[in-house]
Amino acid sequence: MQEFDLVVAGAGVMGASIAWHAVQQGLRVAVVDAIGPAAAASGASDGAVSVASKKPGVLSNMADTSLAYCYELAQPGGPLEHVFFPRPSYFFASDQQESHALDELVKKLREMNGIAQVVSDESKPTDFLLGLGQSVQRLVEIGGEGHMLGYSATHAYLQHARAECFWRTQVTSFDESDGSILVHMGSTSVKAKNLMLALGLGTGQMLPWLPVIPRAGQLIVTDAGQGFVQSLPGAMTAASYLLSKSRDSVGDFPTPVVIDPLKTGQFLIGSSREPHNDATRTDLTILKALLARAVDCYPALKHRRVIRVFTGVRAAIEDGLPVVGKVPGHSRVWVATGFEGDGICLSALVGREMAAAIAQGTPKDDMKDLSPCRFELKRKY
Amino acid sequence: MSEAAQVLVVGAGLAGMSAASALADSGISVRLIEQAPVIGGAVLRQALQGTDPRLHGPHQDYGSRLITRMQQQRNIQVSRSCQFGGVDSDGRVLLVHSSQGSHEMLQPRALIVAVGATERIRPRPGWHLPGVMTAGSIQVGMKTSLTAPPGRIVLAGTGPLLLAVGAQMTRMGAPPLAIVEAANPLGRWHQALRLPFVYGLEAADYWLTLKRAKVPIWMQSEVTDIAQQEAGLRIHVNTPKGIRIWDIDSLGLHDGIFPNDYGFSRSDHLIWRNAGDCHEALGARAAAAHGELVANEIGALLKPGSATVRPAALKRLERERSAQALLKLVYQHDEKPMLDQLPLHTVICRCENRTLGDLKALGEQPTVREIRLLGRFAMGACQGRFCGHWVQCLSGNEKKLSKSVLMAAHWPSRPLSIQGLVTTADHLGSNSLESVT
Amino acid sequence: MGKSFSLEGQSILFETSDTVATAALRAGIQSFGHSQSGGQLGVFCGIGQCQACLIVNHQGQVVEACLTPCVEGAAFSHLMGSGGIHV
Repeated sequence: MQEFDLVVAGAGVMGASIAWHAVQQGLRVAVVDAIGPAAAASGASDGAVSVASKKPGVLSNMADTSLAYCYELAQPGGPLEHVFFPRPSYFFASDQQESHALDELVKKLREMNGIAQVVSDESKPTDFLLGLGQSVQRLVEIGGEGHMLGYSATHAYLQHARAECFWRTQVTSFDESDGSILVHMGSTSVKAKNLMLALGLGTGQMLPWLPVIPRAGQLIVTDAGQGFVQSLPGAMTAASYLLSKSRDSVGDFPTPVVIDPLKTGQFLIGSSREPHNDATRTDLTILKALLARAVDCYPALKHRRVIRVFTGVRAAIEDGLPVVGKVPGHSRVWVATGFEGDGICLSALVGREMAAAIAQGTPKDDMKDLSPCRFELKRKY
Repeated sequence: MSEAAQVLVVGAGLAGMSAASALADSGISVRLIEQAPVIGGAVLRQALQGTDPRLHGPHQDYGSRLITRMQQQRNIQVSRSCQFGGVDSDGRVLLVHSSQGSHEMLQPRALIVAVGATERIRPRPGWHLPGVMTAGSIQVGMKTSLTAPPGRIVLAGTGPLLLAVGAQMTRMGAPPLAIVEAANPLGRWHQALRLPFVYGLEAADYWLTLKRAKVPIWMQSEVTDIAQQEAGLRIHVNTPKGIRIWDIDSLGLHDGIFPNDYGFSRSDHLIWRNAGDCHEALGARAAAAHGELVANEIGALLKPGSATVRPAALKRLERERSAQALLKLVYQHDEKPMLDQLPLHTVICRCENRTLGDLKALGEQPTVREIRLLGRFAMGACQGRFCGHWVQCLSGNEKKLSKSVLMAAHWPSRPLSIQGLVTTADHLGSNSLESVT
Repeated sequence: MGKSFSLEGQSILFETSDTVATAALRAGIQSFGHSQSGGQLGVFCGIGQCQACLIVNHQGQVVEACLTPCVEGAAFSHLMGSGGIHV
């Protein structure tokens, strides 16, 4: 029977990053996925690597550290070379409520004083950036953030890791017994010193007491339009997006929309936050609202066509924070899930920290807020 | 019409018109949409000035009767130059009016998709060049504009459509330079003889038309290369008598007719049926019969107790099914060697300009994510409609990579203008009334 | 004088029943230029599915030539052509 120091269940961007980092720690690693790399949310996402979009506090601080680390990993020879690219990001407001959210954002970034920095705060955005609609009343430009496609990052981490990969194989169960875990995956089983569950929504099946909930988001893909495209220099995010993250209802503020220019000249327009896990669900009213706001803010989109709409189902945790760390009741089982769309940005840092923790056998202090132990009561009862 | 139509029929070809008429007969209100400026579909397409008997063959009489009957039915609303945009999960259907560039949203109780069969085209080196089109496209063009396409044209691939289009071109005064057929239908004469008499008659009619115009028909032959010249194309044709090189203006390709299995997004809120060739490629005679049967089924669901038994239609389908099976045997040949010999520079995904070499570079048995996100296949405007089948065959993945995953059901069913989407009116069938003409 | 529209400045005659695609083909025009990905554009399937016959209409909208009715005096351009709206 094959033996590994670490088996990573789940080949999304998080599992892939953990795998690469574990290999760097000298561990013998296997990555297992029921389908293949980035089969779920990681492959149905946009590519924002952003501090600004995170809730203030733990997540913003982690995002800033992770963002800085991405630059390191993107150095020549690093796994994120050709994958992570610095790119300006823009947050905009169309009304007072959104402008207030921008005030909070600027304050947060100035207080953090990290790698993501406010570059400018424009009250006449149409003078500043070409092609903006009149409804964009205020524009904040943030420097230092980046762009990294979820699929590309996953693929890059795995390519560089050269771990043993088991695709079209599902981890169905595991048995822990003195010093070793027997990981059952379909018709085979392997021995592992450690098991990392980076399964996104699938984590709920392995650890039913963890309140992993789905948040589906529809994303619109446009064509590349006409002529040589003069697209936006970076993604534009409506400030209401920041409001929607702290409140679950979307009724009382302008539609949160992100307009993301792709290298091909196409645009990715998104996204919704729907409390279901149906990746095949399309809702015309939601799409119409997203597109209406997008066209309002960037009228050139009127000349584009929608060629596809896809839905990415992100894994979230009931209390709004991901779960990262050692699973209570087990000595060698770890978990990293519930990033709700922040996985791409946090993958670098979480990968490094989890790999280090696994190699040393102890969880890290600075991520204790994310520990699954906060649900320990749920597990027992 | 002041009320929203209960049933939306997409495609005013034989199956669609037959279904619409049958539904109207049982008192159900119908909205019939057709993407072309004229109704009739692939078989009957009516040129705006009137019909041309040279083009319609044996289905003309039935078609005319159907159209006349529809004109007399009050509860069918026809919209031409109107395309189907897709259904969302709540059963909202989007329609595009291409003359105005506007969109319309409906919520019918049932949907019948009768958009015809898919014409399959095998990739060949140079098939992406201008001047190369489908044989079906040449046929549609002739029927719409009532003139034959100009220049030296070769029809190549496999299937009876090549003969039909060639004969139609000849009757319009512009016979093709040659027909290149991969199979050996003449060699299967003993199976061909078992075909229904009307099939033989139709084939003989096409054959004689072509022979009289001295159009050479090369059997067991295939186009192996297409190259751009200053004026026109140069094609290499592999024949049993050796390689032929011809300079031509246009090439019409066709490699068979298949049911339309393109992934339309579905809804639990809508009764959905496919009718005609779209459902099962059985040809024109079966299409009308199937349209009737589907209408009957839907009618029964909407108005319980209104169903009637249609033995004639069922018998017709059975007969056509046997005939098509025989036709398949007559035209049977192995296309695998042709696929195996494709050079790496052959474009597979036309929209994104991705080659066979790009596909092979993905390695053994690539996953859907790898094929799409790394390889960029099926990521363009047609979303895999034309390359999906071939990517499956050529990626060595046939068993594990089901086409339904690569070309999975998605919305929209065709590219939709954002301008149209944001101004979509929520009509309830109050669009301008057009009578059936 | 027959009815005509223009494509990339070239005048093309049409009949009432024509689409932009059928009129262009009859005039011997097979190429509609290139797409952003380098793909060749021109009439292929004739029924609005292949997305190869894309052109830009006078409203700056990208449309399929084979689904577009001809309009007297209308000016169409190539996707990467001289007209249209470059955004």
